[in-house]
Amino acid sequence: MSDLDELCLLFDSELEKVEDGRALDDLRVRFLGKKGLLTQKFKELGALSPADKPARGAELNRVKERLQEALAQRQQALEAGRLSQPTLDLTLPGRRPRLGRRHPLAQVEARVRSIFRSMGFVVETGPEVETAYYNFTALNTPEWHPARDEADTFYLDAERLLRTETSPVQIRVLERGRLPVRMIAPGRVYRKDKPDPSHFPVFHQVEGLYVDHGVTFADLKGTLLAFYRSLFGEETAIRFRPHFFPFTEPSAEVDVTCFLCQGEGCRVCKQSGWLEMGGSGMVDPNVLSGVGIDPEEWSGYAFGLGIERIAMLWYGVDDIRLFWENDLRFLKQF
Amino acid sequence: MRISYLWLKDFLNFQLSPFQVADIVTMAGLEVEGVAPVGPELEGIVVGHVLEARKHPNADKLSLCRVDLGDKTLEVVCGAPNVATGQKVAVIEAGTTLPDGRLIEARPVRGVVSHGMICSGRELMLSEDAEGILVLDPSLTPGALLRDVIGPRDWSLDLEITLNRPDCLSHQGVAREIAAALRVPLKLQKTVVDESGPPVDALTSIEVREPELCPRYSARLIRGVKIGPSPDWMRWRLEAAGLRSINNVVDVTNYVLLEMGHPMHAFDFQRLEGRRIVVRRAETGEKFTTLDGQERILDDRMLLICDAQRGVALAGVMGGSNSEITEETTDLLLESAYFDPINTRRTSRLLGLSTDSSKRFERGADPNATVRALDRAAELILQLAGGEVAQGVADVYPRAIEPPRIDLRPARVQEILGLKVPKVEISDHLVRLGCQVAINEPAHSLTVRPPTWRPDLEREIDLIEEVARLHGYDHIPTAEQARSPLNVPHVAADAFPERLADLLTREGFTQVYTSSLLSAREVEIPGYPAAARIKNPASEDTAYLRNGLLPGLLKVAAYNLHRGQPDLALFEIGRVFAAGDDGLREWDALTGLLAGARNAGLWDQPEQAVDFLDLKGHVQTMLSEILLDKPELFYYHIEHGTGDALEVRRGERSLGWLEQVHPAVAARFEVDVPVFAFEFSLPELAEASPGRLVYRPFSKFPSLQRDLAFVLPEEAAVGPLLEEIRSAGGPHLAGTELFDVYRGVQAGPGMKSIAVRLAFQSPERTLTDAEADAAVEAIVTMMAQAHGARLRS
Ligand SMILES: [Zn+2]
Repeated sequence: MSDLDELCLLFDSELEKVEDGRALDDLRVRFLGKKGLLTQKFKELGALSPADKPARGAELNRVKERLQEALAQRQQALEAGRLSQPTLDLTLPGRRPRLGRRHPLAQVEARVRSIFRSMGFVVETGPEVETAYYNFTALNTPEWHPARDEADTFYLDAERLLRTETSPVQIRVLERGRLPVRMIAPGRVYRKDKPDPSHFPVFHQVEGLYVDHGVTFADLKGTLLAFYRSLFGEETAIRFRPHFFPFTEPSAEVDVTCFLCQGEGCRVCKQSGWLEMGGSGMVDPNVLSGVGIDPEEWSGYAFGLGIERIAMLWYGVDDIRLFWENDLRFLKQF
Repeated sequence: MRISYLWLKDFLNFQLSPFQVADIVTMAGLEVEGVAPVGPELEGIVVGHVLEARKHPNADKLSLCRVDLGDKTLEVVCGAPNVATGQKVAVIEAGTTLPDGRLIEARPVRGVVSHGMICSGRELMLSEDAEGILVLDPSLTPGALLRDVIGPRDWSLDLEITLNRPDCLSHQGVAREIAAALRVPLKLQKTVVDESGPPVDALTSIEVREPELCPRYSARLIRGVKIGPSPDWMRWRLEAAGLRSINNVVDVTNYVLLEMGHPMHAFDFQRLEGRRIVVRRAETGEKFTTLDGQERILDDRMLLICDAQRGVALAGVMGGSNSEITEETTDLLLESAYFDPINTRRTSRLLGLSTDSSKRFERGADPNATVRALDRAAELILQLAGGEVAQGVADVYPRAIEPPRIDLRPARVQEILGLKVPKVEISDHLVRLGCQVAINEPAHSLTVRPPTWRPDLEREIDLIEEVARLHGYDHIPTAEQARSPLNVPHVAADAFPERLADLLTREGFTQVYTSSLLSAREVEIPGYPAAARIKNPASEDTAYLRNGLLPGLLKVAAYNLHRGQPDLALFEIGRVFAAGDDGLREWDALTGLLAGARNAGLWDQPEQAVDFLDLKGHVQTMLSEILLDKPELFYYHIEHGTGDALEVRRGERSLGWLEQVHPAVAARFEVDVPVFAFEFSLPELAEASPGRLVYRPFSKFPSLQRDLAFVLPEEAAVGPLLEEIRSAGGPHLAGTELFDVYRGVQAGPGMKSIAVRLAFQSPERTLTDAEADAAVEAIVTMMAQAHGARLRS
């Protein structure tokens, strides 16, 4: 077998393996490139006698033609092959990388914070382990009030307890003595409730406070109306019902028109057309004077609302414990 | 407090439905928990049409009636004088039972079989009228069920009375609120007591040794009563208010309690030693058996009502079994007192004994209502149990309790409410509540004396609330504009945690909320500080405050793993607590957890299990996003978890750690797959994170790339080597990127090969190949000399 037959044999076997354009290019370079195997043979022509040259040259050219033709055919075959590949099944599901999600309570709280922020409230925080002074006494809760009972409140010792509301943050902020104050305090609170569909011993509240010269009950009504309209919809109406809280006077429970039945009455609002949202009122003068603020000069309002309550109503969640179970099938929906 | 709708009508003339009443009291501040019908079920009672009523052939006083029941006609014998042809009546067919349980059967009456009965209001327990049959609306359809066409006997309104309103724990008090809201008069009945007996002082005496704890003690004596059952009206009213009937005398004391709100107690006078009352403190350790049969051990601050010898009632809380009313009782001493609220509360709480009586005394009864309550009770007892009332009231009231005088400035009302209410209107509102009001013309103020049944009205602000309430919260304007102080903080308290939460969400982590209350076992995590214990936990499972967030996340991981959801990327931001000698510390922590596949959701790829480097990558991304990056940060190997653990420090401060959770710890939480977790302290991160991002210019000249592969001993740590390459590469080495770590034949046994891609770039000019090659040469030399690394060809 001549050296050119061997070369052709090698070429053919390599060509068999070529499956894409890049490999085909590599093969072309390997045989026909500047330093290619066949090119080498052409370069060696110069060393031959003039008598042998023409025959050898013709033979080389024939081989070159043959290789080029084979490469071209292969290229055509590759291109044709590419086009004749089965088309992608567009009905297959797309690849969806995992998406992270905020907890529904975090989403509701963020919404609440952003609305109040837009109305000029500043976000404040405070400790969750509080003293009886901040949690009760400074909020005008009498010594005998049942909320202080060990049956209702978790204590660490005689003085320290897990805050039962976010209201003590009011006191801590007022104590700084920099008035006016316009703040909200979101956070965890604790009550000794047995877990059931509507209770969990840990839950979340947002406390609001505005103390300034000449703050009135009318300001409270206007602020909460604006807030609930932003939260639940422009058509929302609110209702203030007299109530009793130790740290506000006058005190009111705030109801909003049921957004599920537009106030017509349904199962969720117990046919009343109203949904109870939380307490509010004018800061009791005892609370102000307790932190050294003259209630004749300054007045203010305070309110509270429950994040779980809003989330349950808004998303139609009927069991508060779902928020604490963290089942991904639940969390994925928000 | 359950309120009977009919009972309210004793005090008010109104044409309101029970639901309208509920709306009114709701807006007055008494929360309505429910409105429920009260009365018999009326099972099987139907409307009948009397087609014909004629005389019974064998009895003058009886009628023979043919009654149309819609689908049939019934022959019934009726004894009522008022039955007549054409009436619509209530009929019970034979084989059915009356509300009182009596079975009606078909039976002959004077020779004629009666197949049922035409009912009276009494038989249906709808009214006390037993004289004649109940005649119904003529428009009713025969055969209709009676309970569908007539209302119930009464309605019960379940009210939630707030702690400050003891006066509303009675029908009279609730009626007063309705009257004030509707601006109609409250009807108060006059009580008339026929005092036919000898003077009360001749028969008994009252001695109060503790006037502080018992400011007033009033009593009446009634002799010769006959204990028996109460009449229906009394039973029905008690039932509507949620009480069971006991006997006529006890029922009267309960009735007066529910009507006027004043607790009373009836003693069997003959069982009182010495026939007298002594009010004193108990002795420490003194034993006393209350009406419920329980023996109580008292202390010397508890007030005891005694006879000449021994205790007979726990003041304001509960009577004693030694003097209670029995079937044989004939003579009564009726107690109507005013006890100190705080002391009553203390006794009730210490003994764990809360009663209808203690609830009212501890919130504040009306000291000036004792005699009116006695009179009302005496009147009712004479009516229901007979007897003879001794003349006069034994009344020990050494210092009369007067209402306070409160100045109320109309200007202040406007300052608080944002609404101008005229003086006269203010006065009018308060008078409707029972206040005495004097308008002081020159001083522009009012002097208000609230009634003694309103112990909650002590200050000007208390009166302003009443004005607001009666004026109607609805009539206070709603502000349309807000004035806001212009203090906007540079960094909001919620900004940093929000930023981290959003960052992790982008990284594919889902936020969870877990409980702050854990068990002793759950807070035992290696490396965690000691956890604080709650003094009065609800259970041992929730007795400790969480000292980190990992336990909660492991619980969530277990929950989801056991429900076929193995691919987890979770985080929580929340408060954690550490107990220490110097007190309790609390701070916000951020914890993340990874388990399962990293490429979940990419369905056509083989699943790749997460490992430590996934965790580290997320942490590095997160930290660099809050502008924390090398060279400020150092990662240290620490003894934690499985040993695959790093602590992240900045200078001497520890910011947090990342680890593969030790399988033994994970197993305690029923997690049996590899889990990776990090935990950071939010305040430490916030403190370390620079507040301001500063732009770093980048070069606009092209970069030159060189790929190098080094063969190194297996044990060589790559991280520090990359640092060394960076410093050996000279000023133009702009990027050093690891792109492969290879172990295998080509590297040789005990060796590994690392491949790095180097990028050379100058901010000022285009670099030459020679410059890049020189830098590469320096790196290769350093690697060979310092680490014995050879270049892989
Ligand atoms: Zn509704």
